[in-house]
Amino acid sequence: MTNLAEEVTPRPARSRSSWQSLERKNLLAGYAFLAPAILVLGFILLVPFLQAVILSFYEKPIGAPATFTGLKNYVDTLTDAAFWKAGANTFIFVSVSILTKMVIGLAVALALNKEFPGRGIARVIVLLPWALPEVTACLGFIWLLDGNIGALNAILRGFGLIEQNIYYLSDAKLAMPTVIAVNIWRGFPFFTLTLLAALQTIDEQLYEAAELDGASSWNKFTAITLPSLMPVLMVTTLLSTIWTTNSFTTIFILTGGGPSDITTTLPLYTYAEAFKGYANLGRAAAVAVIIMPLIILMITILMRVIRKREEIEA
Amino acid sequence: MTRKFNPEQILRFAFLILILILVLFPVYWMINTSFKGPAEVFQRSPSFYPHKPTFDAYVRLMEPTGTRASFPRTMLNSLIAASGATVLSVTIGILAAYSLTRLRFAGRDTFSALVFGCYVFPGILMFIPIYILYSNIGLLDTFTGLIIAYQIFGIPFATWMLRSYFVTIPSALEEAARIDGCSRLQSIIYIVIPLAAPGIAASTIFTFTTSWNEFLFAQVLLQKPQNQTAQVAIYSLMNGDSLPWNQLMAASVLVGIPVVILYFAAQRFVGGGLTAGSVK
Repeated sequence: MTNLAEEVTPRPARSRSSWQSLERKNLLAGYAFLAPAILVLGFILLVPFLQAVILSFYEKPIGAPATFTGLKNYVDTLTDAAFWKAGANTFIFVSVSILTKMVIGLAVALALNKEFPGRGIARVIVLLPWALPEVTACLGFIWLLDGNIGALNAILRGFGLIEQNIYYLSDAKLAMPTVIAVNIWRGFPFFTLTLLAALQTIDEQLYEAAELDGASSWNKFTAITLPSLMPVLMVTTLLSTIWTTNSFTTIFILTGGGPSDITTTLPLYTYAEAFKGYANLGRAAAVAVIIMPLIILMITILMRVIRKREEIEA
Repeated sequence: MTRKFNPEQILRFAFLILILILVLFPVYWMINTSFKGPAEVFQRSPSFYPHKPTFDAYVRLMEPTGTRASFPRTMLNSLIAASGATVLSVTIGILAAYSLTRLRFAGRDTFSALVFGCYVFPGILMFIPIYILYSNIGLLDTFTGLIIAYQIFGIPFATWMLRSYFVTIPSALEEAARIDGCSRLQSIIYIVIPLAAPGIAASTIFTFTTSWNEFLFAQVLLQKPQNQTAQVAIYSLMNGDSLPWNQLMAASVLVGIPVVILYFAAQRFVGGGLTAGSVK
């Protein structure tokens, strides 16, 4: 059927005028098919965003009229120590999470890349944390880590590793590491998944050739595996960085940003500005506008990397 | 080549077993707790399997309480929101992906880039603006509003994923159909859609599960108890000093089962779909 189809359609050699009319037709059809996507995304992204930009110059408590306050929301935000603290928290949360996810994700991918009995099941199980709903997984951890009757304390006591119960989520020193650990638990499978897919595209012959030359496992890893994985690793890392930077639900459920703002990252700070205490939507809108350039920068870098890779392949 | 039990292999197995325990134990603990009665849940030394297994927690979830609707009702709400969002995203995504892969027109690359930008654009920055917009135009507390809000990730996600499937369909097939008198829409329905079926299945499953799992928008945009989605209802169970942990875990198990099944059904598409264009 394919052959027939190819025979009937002479592809090249169209006259100039028919090309032009084809282009015009394509342009129309192109936009017509894109129109629903553009309309809906315009309504749900562009309109609210523009509205938020306008609102960021107003004071607007929920359910009360807005009053114009000029740059006050921006000045208040940028002079708020809690904002900068949230920025620093975000940086720690993201950098530690991402680095650890990358290392564990890669290690698991490498371990799963060799043939062994039960590999299929192991690959499916490793995906589990990523498949579970975020709310569900986080609740599971709150319960597991409970300071009074949680399983982890019971296990550590049982092994004689601790004498006093640990309050993981309300301890000022432990809250951030705990939140990061849960984020890693949920996020490393994504690295494993994409890296495993990439590992399977590496040509076995490269390794065979290296073995003939007497290369060690470490040599093979640094000279063949890592360079081959680099493009995928970069894209995965950037994607995961964007997602982690904007991660809200995990911290919101686990600690709500506490104890005393120790785990408050920028998304939680924004939420608190809008809905907690003296709620001012204008102020929250200003925070969103301030963070926006940072996110757009990350997205732009990501797109550059992907485009470069597509060019190399083309 | 079958060198059994060399140190490298032992190390790999030990590492994998450790990872599998870390992955499975929290999940096991949820299931374990969901089958315990209140007395057993609050023992100071927790039991590692339910000594008196009971469906008590599941039964209690069936009834509505002051702060939430009955749990099946909230799951129905989730189902409505997630399926509505999925149908809309995948339909719009098919049209958009077709346009971006099949038709040549000025501005196409810009739109491709924009769609990708939207795909990674964080919803967290949008929940305040959308909340404000919705409170102005009366879309708060409506499923229509939530379904439209889910298009923020739904459309870019479906479009981006389908794009990678559409490029693999030879355009000669479609041209032949066009010559035989098919309209463009007909050729999409009879040729492109059947051939891209795995891609459509994958994007359907992933849009559905992402919507089903979504918490922030559902929490902010739907406020009446009878409108709560299951994720929000679980969160609202976390009220008071001593939490009904067996019910919380039972609810988590109920909400988790459908997604876990769907994910595993679709897992072979995941890696390729999400990083389409970067993973070959």
